[in-house]
Amino acid sequence: MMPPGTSHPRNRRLPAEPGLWIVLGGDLFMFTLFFATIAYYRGLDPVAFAVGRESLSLVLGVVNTFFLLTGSWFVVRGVRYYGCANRTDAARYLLLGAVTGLLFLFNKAIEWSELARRELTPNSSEFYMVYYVFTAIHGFHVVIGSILLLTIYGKLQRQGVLAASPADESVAGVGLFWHMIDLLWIMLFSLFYLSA
Amino acid sequence: MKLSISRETGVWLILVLATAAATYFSVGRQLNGSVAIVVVFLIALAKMRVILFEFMELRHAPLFMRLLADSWLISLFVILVVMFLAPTHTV
Repeated sequence: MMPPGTSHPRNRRLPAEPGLWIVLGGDLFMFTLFFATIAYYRGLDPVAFAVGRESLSLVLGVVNTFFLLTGSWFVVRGVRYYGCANRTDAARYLLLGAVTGLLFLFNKAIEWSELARRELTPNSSEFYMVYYVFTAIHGFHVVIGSILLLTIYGKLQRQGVLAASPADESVAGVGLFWHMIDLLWIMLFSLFYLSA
Repeated sequence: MKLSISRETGVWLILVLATAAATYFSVGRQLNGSVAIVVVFLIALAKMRVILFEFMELRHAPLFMRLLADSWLISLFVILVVMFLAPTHTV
């Protein structure tokens, strides 16, 4: 069964609880300050940022962007399947979404350990300070998002097939959180890997 | 066999291609530094808008929410471009 991806609700509405959007908005505002902080430190020492950018692995950055974009695609499908009470496919796609999160974290660990091996630490320059701090905060979001997706997967597995309640918006809410993680990474990737 | 790509798959493809384009313009050095920065940020903000409006379904949201999202994206673009292209910060 294909998810009803092209259905257009007559009434304009937000997916999930309105309260969740306030939380997401708060997170987006916080990251806006983080982005401005990165730009500020770059302005103080553009050379350190150019050198820092060269030391990062662009390949790992691009691959990680690909993982999160693909993870969002899995999660969109998972949430749609959940909405039409197809628990088996919902569980499968949400699990795949969590796997992309874990792959992202694995790549990040490789990149961090490689930098640490070259003794490039948060103390090395302003670039590494903001790079480590803000990618760590983002990485923490990926950890939380992956745990949430795995939790839903576990619940769907335990509760069997076709007992879904489309009125339950918690799955849609986790989906929104996951997309926000993807959205924030796009800007961090641009700031650290493409334009520093 | 009918060949059809679902909407979210098309969106995913656009996002992946946009990532490739941003990386190309950033690394390729065929644009001068300032133009490359503007292009990279434009592509990033466009990708973020696609995620907000497609994956996060803001396209179905009330006008107020859509305006709020667009205002945020435009502000972010202006803030970052000004901060990146200003020659030095005056403290």
